[in-house]
Amino acid sequence: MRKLLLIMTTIYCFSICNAFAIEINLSESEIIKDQTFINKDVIATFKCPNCKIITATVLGENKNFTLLQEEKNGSKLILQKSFKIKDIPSFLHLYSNTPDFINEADKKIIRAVEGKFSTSYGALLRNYLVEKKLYSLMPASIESNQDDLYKLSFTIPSFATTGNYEVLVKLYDSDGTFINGAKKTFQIKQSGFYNEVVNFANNSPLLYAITSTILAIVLGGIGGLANLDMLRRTKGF
Amino acid sequence: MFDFFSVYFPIADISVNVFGLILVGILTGTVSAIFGLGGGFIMIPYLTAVGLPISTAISTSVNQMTAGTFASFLSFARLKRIDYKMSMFLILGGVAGSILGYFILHYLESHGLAGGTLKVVFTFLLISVSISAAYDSIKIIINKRNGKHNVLKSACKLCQYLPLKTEFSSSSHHISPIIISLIGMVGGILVILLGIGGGFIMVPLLLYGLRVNEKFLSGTIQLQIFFTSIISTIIHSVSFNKSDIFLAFYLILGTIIGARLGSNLSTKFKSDDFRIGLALFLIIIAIIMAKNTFFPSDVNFIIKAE
Repeated sequence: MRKLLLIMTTIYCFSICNAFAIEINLSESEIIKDQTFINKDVIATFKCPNCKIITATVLGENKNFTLLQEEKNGSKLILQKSFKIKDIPSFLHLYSNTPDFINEADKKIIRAVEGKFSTSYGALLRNYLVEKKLYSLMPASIESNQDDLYKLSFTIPSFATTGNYEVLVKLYDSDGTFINGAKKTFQIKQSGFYNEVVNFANNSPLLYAITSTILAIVLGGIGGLANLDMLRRTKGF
Repeated sequence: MFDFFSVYFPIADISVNVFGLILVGILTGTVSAIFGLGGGFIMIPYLTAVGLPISTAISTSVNQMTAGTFASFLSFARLKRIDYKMSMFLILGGVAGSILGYFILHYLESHGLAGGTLKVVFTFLLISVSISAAYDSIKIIINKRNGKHNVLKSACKLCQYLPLKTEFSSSSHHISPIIISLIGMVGGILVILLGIGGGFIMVPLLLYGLRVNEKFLSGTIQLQIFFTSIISTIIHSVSFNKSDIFLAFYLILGTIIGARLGSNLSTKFKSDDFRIGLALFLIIIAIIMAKNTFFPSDVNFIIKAE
């Protein structure tokens, strides 16, 4: 009898889940941070007939954030203290087609993140992430049309870190019971040459410093010689 | 519209308008070549305003300084307006000052004194130098009105008692290399502590303190800043933050154009014009610095994701 009940429940669930199966389409599967990168608009679409409550979350890979306090004082730099906030999403945007509806998983993420933002440094990081449009903790709306096609859009700002990102869509019954979910991932990375330069700067800072100094001297030398050539022509030096 | 000219820079990790970078490079290069200043005091506020963390702005600015001062040095060398002997003592002092500055910064940071102490000391130093420059300029203007000739006398009475007095081509009287090395040392310390070439402290000290001929001043100091900026680039890159080599490229491009304009303009300046222009510049910088020190605007943070 138990087995029969289990089989029936599975069949029921499968049919329901299949009825609400969704496939997310992303306008970008990979975002390359190259010299032309400023901001990148990404659109996620999915079809969902008869769906009641839909939430979506765009999550950036968890990162450790280090805050180095420095005084902005004309041309002067004075580094003072550093503070680390570990393991928080590098990007977090929430969406919902029902005003103020936030799913339990997202509530959990928000609670965890807000807990880490509870210090004064944390509050500064929170402001920074919101200001740079890396975080949007109030759910934005999910647009839909008559064909049950849903659409949400977000912008990847130039301050977004590289790594894996995911778009999570969750469906709920009108009473808030979870029905089904789907996930689609995309990546933000620096292009080959840029990536190599960043790795070089991080792994061999001394060599990088010497290289940048030599480059500066060569460029300065070329510029200086060009100036001399012009001086010679105009003033006969 | 302006986004079209924006370029993403991988180390700074932001997009910046390249026209703005070239323009600020031209301005910095021109001012640097005329007055013998490093130009960090123009460059760094601009770079931080466009969103760069201050430490990246400083190391990138110092990197640009290397190119700019080298370009200026070549022009001044051709114009025969460098006192190499004086430069050598300034460089020796500058190298010692850079190393000393590195230890001072670490000491101040470890004792949590870096911010306030440096800010106040530096501002007072700048205010006193600009007052001296303003006084000198007022004298020039009054003498001009009265038809008198402006004669420079050494303002540093103590310097006359220092040993090892040597003849310098840029000065009509003998100067002790000790005081020149000490001035170079101040520049070296400043380049590490504040990321600025120290030109706007060294120029007035040499001009008003030791009465060095202004024709030689810019070229001689540019050569010193060139060496200290190399050391500073390396120290900053290894200890604090990396310069953005790509961003520095656009700044250097503008600086080279500016250096050409500046070295050309500087040949047209008369001695008195130079001193009045420098005084005006120093007063403006001193007002800005004093405002930032005593009425701080905001606190900036470098945020790094790992």
